[in-house]
Amino acid sequence: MNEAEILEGLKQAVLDYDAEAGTRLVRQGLDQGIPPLQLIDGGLSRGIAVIGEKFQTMEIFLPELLMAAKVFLEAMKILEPVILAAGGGRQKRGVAVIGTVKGDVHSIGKDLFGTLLKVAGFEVHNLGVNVHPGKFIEKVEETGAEIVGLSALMTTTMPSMREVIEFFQARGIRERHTIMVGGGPVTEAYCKRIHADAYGETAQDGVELAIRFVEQRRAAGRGGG
Amino acid sequence: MVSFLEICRRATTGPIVAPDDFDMERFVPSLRKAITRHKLTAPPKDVIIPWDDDLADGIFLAAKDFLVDTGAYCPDTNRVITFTREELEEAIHLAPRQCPLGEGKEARFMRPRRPEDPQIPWCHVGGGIPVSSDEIASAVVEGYARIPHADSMSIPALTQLRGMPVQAGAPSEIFAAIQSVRLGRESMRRAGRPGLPIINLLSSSASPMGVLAVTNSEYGLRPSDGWLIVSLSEMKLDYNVLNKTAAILSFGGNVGFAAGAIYGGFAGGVIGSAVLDAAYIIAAPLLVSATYHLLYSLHITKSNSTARELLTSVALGCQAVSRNMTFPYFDLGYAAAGTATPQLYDETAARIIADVVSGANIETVHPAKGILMDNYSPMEMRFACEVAHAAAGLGRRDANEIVKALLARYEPHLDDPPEGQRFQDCYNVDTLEPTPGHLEVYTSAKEELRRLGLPLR
Repeated sequence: MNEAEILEGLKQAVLDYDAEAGTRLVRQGLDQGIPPLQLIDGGLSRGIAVIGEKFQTMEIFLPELLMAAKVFLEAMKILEPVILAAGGGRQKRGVAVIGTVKGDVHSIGKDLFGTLLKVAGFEVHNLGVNVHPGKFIEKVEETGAEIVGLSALMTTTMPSMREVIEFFQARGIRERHTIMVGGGPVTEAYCKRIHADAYGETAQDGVELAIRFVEQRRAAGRGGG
Repeated sequence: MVSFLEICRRATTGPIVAPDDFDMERFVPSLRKAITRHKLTAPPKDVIIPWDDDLADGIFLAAKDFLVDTGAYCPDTNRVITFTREELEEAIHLAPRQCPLGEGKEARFMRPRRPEDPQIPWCHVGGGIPVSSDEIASAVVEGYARIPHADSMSIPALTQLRGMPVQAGAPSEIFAAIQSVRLGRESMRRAGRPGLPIINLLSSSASPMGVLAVTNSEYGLRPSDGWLIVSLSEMKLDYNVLNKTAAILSFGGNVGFAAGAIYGGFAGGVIGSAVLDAAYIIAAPLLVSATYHLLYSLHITKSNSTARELLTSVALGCQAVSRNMTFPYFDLGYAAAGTATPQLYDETAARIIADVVSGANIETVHPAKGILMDNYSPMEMRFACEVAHAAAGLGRRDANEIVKALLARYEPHLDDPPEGQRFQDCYNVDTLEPTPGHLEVYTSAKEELRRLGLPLR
């Protein structure tokens, strides 16, 4: 297979939800000397872009989205060490800590957001559900995360989002982080009221916002941690 | 019949499965296998409300197969609560055929219906929508209780107590739970209907402690109210759910199981969501000894249930159950548009007609996806009840034509819906009368439905 065929095959592996084909083609591409970044950008990411559009239009559903993401992430397990060994390569988009806030145990939307963030190139630390505000602080300090994603699915747990922001303020690290909120009852107006930085109506919206915010932070020379 | 205690035991002794594996290795394959086995395919796009009884019956069979293959997952123990086909069939056979609710002259039975049934549906009014103050909560519930068609009530979710945010797990949640019942009951008393049942335990509080807080007979809920148990998506029962159920069953309350498919989620599209909707209703008496079920299915990205696909999937799930099981349930729809907008009335009519001709009882549709503060009013709830009464006995083919016409009006605006008004902006809070502008929206919506062929009074 030549380079064009391998890249097309990688795109197709994502579209076919075929993790075995994805990893095989990645190995073949590396053996043939195709740069890892080219395998990602010219192959895998093109497939993921199509998958994202299909999910938005409901041509495919959550299981297919997760299966396609798995192809991408399995391939990245092979590619990342190669990139690191080469001493350069694909720059990590950013680091994100996400979780469902205290008192709330819903997870589907938050997990989907986490998966899409990973596929977009973020290092993601998913703290799970019913997460105490202090746990968010601990994790961002441990990982240097710039993005903090808070999810809630009940009106009675939305105040826990405000509480997280207050914890960041009390710790004196609020300005170092972009705090994003989302979930069924959360609105743009609520985001503004609690002084969060961004509201994502859908998981995909959230990812696009996260990318925009880390790029703005990079441009402004501000990091996380 | 498998007892609730036995369900709890199986939550601690069933097969151990990792959470992600339950979703992708058990739930999804089982659902797809059941759909394939029964050769189920979605109807054409111009059939919004299907009338294919064979398809509805196939969905019912698939839902049973899916339940037996999948079970329910307990995230606290990482175990699957399993049951045999015989146990499921017995639970279906022995499921309550009516649910006694309310007191005094408001005491009545919520009963199952069949597709195209002329029996007037149970009309559940209100919603656990966030409310900004006790005053607004009182006024709006009194307005609900003045709706003569109302058979039961949902009371709003208080968001603050004397300026303190109501927060899950905090004492404010407990006070809010008690306060919301007290306010709701007093508002119904002012409307002359103190016996109306409150059946949405309890939007101000989702915790087991909140349930226990409102069991006090002096100021809390009554056994004749409805005690709603909300499951986790998809097909998950955590200890919160099981603990609340244990408490409610112990004093003889009506347990209502609340669950519906997330369209576009693990269930997939129209057929998968229909099978899962049916499965949730079928499983309710078995899993939590429910005496009624609240179905609420939502779109995974749009968060409404008035989109074309949702109208069809919910209609199919309801028809499947209503043709094959005698167990009372009602459906709750979520509109994209907010209060006092013509679009809300169109979405409401479409959702309610689809429900009623498919054999469901109804809850009035939530405006603005149920998330905007104070964004609801008794006017559109009365409208929903009137549509429900008028749609009883309507044929599914005729209903399909009406809903198609309604959908043609609002479908282009679903992604960018009008926000509408707050209760206090479209109502006189003192007199509980709608503003002239709001009344005009209501009147026009009724005229339009009559023109489309719905025999509204």
